[in-house]
Amino acid sequence: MTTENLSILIIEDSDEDYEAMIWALKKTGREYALTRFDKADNAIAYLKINQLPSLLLLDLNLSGLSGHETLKIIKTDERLCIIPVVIVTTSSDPKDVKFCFCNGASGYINKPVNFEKFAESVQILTDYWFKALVLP
Amino acid sequence: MNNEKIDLTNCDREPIHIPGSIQPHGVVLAIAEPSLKILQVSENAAELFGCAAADLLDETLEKLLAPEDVEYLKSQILPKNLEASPRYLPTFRIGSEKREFEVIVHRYEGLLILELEENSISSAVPLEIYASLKSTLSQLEEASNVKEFCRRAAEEVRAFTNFDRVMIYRFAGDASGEVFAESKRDDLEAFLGMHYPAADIPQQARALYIKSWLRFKVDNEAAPVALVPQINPQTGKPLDMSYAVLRSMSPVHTEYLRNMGVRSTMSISIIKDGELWGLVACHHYAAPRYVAHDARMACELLAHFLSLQMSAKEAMEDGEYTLRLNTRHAELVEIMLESEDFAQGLMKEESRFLNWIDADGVALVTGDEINLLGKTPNAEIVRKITGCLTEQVADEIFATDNLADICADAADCKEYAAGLLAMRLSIYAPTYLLWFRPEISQRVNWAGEPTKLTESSEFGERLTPRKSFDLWVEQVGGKSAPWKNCELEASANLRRSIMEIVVRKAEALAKLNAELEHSNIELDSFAYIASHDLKEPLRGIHNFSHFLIEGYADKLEADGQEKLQTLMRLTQRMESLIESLLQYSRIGRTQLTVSEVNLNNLLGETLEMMQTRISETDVEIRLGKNLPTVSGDEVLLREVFTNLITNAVKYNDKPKRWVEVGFVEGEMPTFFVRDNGIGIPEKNYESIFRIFKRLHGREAFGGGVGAGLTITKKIVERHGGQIRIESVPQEGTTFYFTLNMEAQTGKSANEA
Repeated sequence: MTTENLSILIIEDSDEDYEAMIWALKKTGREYALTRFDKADNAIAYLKINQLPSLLLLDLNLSGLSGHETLKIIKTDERLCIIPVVIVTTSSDPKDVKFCFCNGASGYINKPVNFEKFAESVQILTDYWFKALVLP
Repeated sequence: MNNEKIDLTNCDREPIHIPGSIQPHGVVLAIAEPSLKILQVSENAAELFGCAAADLLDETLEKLLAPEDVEYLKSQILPKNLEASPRYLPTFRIGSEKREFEVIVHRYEGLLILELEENSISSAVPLEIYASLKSTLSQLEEASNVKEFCRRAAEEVRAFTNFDRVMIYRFAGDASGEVFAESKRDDLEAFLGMHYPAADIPQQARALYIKSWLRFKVDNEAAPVALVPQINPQTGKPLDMSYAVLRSMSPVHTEYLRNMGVRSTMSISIIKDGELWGLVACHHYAAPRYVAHDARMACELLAHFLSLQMSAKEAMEDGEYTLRLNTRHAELVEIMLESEDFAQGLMKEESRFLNWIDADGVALVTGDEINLLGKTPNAEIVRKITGCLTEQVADEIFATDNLADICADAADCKEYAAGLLAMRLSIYAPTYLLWFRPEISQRVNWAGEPTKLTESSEFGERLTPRKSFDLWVEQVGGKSAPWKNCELEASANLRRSIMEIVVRKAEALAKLNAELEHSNIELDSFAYIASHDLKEPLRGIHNFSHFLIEGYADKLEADGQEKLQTLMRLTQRMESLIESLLQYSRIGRTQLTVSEVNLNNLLGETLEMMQTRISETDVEIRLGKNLPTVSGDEVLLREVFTNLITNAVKYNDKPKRWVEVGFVEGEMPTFFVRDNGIGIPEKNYESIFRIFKRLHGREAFGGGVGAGLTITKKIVERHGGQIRIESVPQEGTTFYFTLNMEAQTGKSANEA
């Protein structure tokens, strides 16, 4: 498996959370091609003209274009809708969970204040997406 | 009607304005205009003028009067408006003997009516009359109250006329009357304070008294003389003598006066605001009494003055009380403005509220709530009273001195609530202020027994004026002191103020609501900030501590690693606190997703989820009969059972633990979760529901943030239910709760 297959685009405006994500991904024992944006509109502009990533990790609470809006844009775009979007967020509000799944999210994980749990979630997530599934 | 009661009121039907005869001391002429032809004349013309009545008919006035008098009439008097308004003229000398006659002239129904009265007394008084009238009027004006005002007037009238007795007679609402003031010859028995039944002055007489202000009967024993002809040739009817002072009086009245021993009488109407307030009534007993025109005019003037001043005097009498009412009004308004609502303000200042007006008790009825102060009927009767008011009375202010009239159920309470002043505050709901006044039992001195006015004869019951005027005392009860005009006006003012306050409070409430809504929105955004913005740095602290331990393990001593572990544990604890707070606020804010929930299935699923924990602690779960289906939010109800069962399992130190879940049937089922755990001391029954309140150490009984019961209580309350505790320390605890989503839905529908 080459890193080209394991491309992940991350939309996350918190540097600390992004660092935690890198740390957790590192622990999964795989190598990934990571592209990070702290603003969703930049990410969408990028996606329009570049190769699509294998997985997109999306934070909900973003400055500027919100995660909710971003999800809707991607999932209603003829070309982008194929990207699996997994929500990675602080919010555990059932309303948010419902909104995301109804609008085409492929997964929803919490960022708990517990790194070990978070690392475990990321481990399961990547195992699922890159080991078990056939990706588009 | 066969059993019609016969009393003096039957003479209501007597046509007293067309008696067809006059008093014998004067002559009446009915004259056509402009010919001045005499159409009718009284039979006594022969006696007084020396000219037979028959000889005068169809002649003109020239035949009777001196040419200068006719000329004077034609040029000075007849051009004036004399319709229904008698005018006093200077003395005419008539006939060969040139006898002196005082003259009154008026027009009525197309006829000129000339009354000529022979002045049988020498006019010694007249000049003094004008002199004293002026001082009389100014004295009257100074009188401080109505009674004194009337007493002085009676004295003056007696001085002008030399009647034996002059009374100011006042009508009550039921048309019975009372001698209100009196001036009399010293040797006569006083009539002051005596009451006379309504029938003594029949209804059509009272109507006539409003039209024509003066009645005069010189000699009650003198036989009336007829008019000839009886039917007026021009009108084809008997002569209408409504405005003629010489009109002979009804035989019934003559008999009445005779029974009373009265020989001569004069009465002048006192009219207040178009209503017959009373009479100046004069009696002379021993002999006939003629009152010359100038004295008569002076008396009429006095009566007129009484009429004009009566309103002002009555108003002045209540002046002090009105002032007091106004002061208290201002105090009440201030209290009401300071209070949350007007009702609360009034009830807070009991004595001021009650004593605002002269009353012994007051009831404040707002919808279903009744507040009583002082001596009032009980709540049940008050409810009936407001029921009667709602049905029968549209007025905003209503007053009666006989409450039983409008509400028979209140009759038994008359001792302390015979009178009612009701203020209606809402047209939609029965909201009333009711003041009650006690019964006043009073003695009424009747001149003769008012109910015995008939006598039996061979023709059966015969209507007759009563013969006895002996004092007859009646004990009158069932009524309160009457409500005064100034009290009714003050009530209307107070009502206006209350309505203004209600509107003002409603506006303030609307503003408060808007502010509350605004702060709710702010709370929402706070919850969001708490969820994301506060947790983010917290997570950063945690994660970086973790990175330190992992990445710098070789550079950190065990002590340093331990401190970082503590740091991480604290951040996690803080996160659970924030998360609980968030969950709690979310239950209060968000709409419930209500459906029919089978609690039996829900309980099964809950226990399934807790399976690991249950088997770990080896706790026995006891279930009774199947739980019912209720409507509610399934997710939240699951939370209730989870929290209560978790606590039951957790706070238990017995070697053999058990938890029982069941419900008590009733109008509304009461659910319970019972354990044989450590129990809760009674003093903590309330505090355990407070958020983050823990009764035990943080690590004891498996720890926790202390929000579970707070959240449980909030969920139960959002389902319209209640939660309570029964517990014996060391032995166990039972949590009881109810769910009443229907009531809750109804309530929110009302709120919307």
